[in-house]
Amino acid sequence: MAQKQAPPPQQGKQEEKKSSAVMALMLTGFIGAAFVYRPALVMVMMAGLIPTFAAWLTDAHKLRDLRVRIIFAFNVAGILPYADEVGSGDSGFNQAIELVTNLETYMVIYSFAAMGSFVVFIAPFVAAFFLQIMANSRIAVINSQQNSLLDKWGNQLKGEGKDDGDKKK
Amino acid sequence: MAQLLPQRYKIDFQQKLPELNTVAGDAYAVRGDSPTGAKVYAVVHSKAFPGRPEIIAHQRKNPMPNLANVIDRGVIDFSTGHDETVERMVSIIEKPAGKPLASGTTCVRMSEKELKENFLKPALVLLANMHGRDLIHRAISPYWIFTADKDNESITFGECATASPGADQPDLFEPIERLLIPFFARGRASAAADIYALGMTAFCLYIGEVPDLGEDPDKSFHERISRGTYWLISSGRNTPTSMETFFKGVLTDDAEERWTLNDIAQWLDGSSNIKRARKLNVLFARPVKYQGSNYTDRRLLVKKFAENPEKAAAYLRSSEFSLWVAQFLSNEAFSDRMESLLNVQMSDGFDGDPIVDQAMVTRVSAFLDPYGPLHYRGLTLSYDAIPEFLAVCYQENDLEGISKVEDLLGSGLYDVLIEIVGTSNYTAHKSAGMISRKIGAVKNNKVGQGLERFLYEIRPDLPCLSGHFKGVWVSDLTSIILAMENILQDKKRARTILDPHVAAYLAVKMDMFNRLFLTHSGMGFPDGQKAANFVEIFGALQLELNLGPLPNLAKAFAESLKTMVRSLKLEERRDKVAKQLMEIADSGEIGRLLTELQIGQLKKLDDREFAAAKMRYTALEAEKKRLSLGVKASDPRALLEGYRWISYVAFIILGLAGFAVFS
Repeated sequence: MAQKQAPPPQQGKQEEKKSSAVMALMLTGFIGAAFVYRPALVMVMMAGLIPTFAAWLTDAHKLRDLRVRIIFAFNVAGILPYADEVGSGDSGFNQAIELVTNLETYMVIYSFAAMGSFVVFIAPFVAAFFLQIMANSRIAVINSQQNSLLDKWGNQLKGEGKDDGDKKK
Repeated sequence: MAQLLPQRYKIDFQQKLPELNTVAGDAYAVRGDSPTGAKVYAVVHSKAFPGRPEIIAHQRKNPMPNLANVIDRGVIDFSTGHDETVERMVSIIEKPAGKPLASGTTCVRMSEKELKENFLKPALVLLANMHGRDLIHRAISPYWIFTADKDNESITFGECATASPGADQPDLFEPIERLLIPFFARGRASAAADIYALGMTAFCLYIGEVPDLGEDPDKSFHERISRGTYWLISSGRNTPTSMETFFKGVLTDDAEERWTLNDIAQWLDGSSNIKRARKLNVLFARPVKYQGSNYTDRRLLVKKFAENPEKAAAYLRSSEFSLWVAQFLSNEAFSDRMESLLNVQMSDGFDGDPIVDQAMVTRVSAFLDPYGPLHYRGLTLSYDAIPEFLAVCYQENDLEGISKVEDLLGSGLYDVLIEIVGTSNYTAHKSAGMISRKIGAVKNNKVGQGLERFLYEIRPDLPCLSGHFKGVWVSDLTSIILAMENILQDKKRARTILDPHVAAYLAVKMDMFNRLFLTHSGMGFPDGQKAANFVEIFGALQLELNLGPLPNLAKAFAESLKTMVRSLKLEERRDKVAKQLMEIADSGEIGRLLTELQIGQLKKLDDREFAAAKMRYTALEAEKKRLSLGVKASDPRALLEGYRWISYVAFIILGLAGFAVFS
């Protein structure tokens, strides 16, 4: 596995900005779509997406957008069941008000968001576990390739110049 | 090798001809006649006396009248009688029909008429022929002149091409300036030496005996100097005036005053008024007192100096030398240049460095007796015999002699001596030109240079005198390569095969070797790329000279090339090439070692592939190192991958939830 090189600082910042723009676009787009679909839903969403907005504003991690994206996905998944309950027209607004004033709604929606945060917390550990497995596997392959090279060229390949090509012991 | 000569001539090694032996080698009968019908005999050369190539070349092209000419030469396998066969150079020479004119002190007697008609006239024909070609016989004596018929009416001069000039001459037949010199270092001399020997031979024939000057060469030298040679041998004898004129003319000790061939011819025609100006300046203006004796003749003082150079140095330093010269050599100009060349510094005793003192005595001796031999650190030799002297030193492993000659030539003393003797010493001056041109090699201590190089440059006819070639006559590139092949049957000798003689010989015979040796050191074949250069030349020579398989040389070169093969990093390739190398070496074809294997190109390919493999190995090692550090949840990669995949999962969950709610 080839080692991925860290992007140059300038390029990193650009990607960060680009990622933030994508996130902002996603949020705006999502809320915009909700507004077109059922304007009253926007009210529920504004209240339900507070964890995402909070995460977006407070997270100082350099992978903030990815982290926020995960929280956002879970957050939205918590909102979706209520989206269907909010109807269109004036009744919709009433239903929306009812929902945003109901504690249970918040508990459900924020539980999803909390689940997202939890996933954000454990994701690196899970990734590290799998990456370690992959690294071990790669090390075995590398050893095999190196042994093959040493068999062919001898220990001088390791920089032991005076052994005149003695094979790897 | 070289069995061609024995195919042409049946040499009977059982039948020795001791009367025809020379210092160069023993004579043997040859069965049957030569292809030209002449009776011939063979001289088997010893190594340090390969002969006089300039004379042999002339004789083979255009034989000389009244002389036993060398008509053929070649190398044969010669049994030494100790169950050992060695290669030797053999000269095939026209065999004189009769006996020598002298034996012991008895000599054929000739009347004046017989002497003129049967001896001098044929001698003049021969010497005119030889001197006309700038060749000097240097072996004229009644012991070496043979009757060609029973009545002694025609004579044949013995051969003069197998030994060094004057080497076989009894002292009586040598001019004074060539006496008391080792027989192999008497030098080529000039035509005057032949005239003197001719005159002495004529005198012996006229009186019917060889004058006996006693056994002590020192004593006869002193007597010849103090009384004059002719006066010494003629005292108490009655010689008719006409003959006395002749003998005085040809036996005068002054080479410049001595008659020439023209003078003899005029005398034979009846002229009796032949006079030549005396030029030899050998006397002091007043006697020099040295070590309790008075010396009037410079040659005697020089000889005394040579006996103990340290004492002579002390004597010379004891007074102001320019005043000494003015006192004892008042009739000679003593220039500032000469004074600086001689460089005699006045002091109370020894200079402190015996070699410096001895060099000073040598310079002064050359100044006092420019016609005489060179005296240096116990050596006495003619200026024109240095190569011959050196060849004998090498052959006899005379390290002291070699060191002295090296010092003489390398220190620049020789050049100074030549300037001191100037044109007074014709033969020294003549030989100096060639020696000075080659002397640079003596001061160079690189492989293929040195005194050995000087010797083979100046005497290219010499066989290679390397100790490796004891029983082999190495006379050209073919024979040296074949001899090396033979020697390398013993693999250990590959480490010393390029000794100074072999290297110098190869460098002289082929300029490409000369260039190779510029970067070479040691006595073995070089390793690596330098070995490849040697292989290239030897391979080309093997083909060009049609030498056939040379497995021992090829194996030696293969061993040298192995360092290149060992440097190949790919083991499989290395083993394969090493195996191929030895297989080709077994075939004995040296050139194939390079052309077939292309080791140089293989090396480049190997280096390239190794560099790539090393880079790959290093990259893998770095990756392994990185992976071995372990993955933590806080690692950026774990964070990124974790968040990314979980974000996909989250949106899938979102999608599923949406589907569940709205469906």
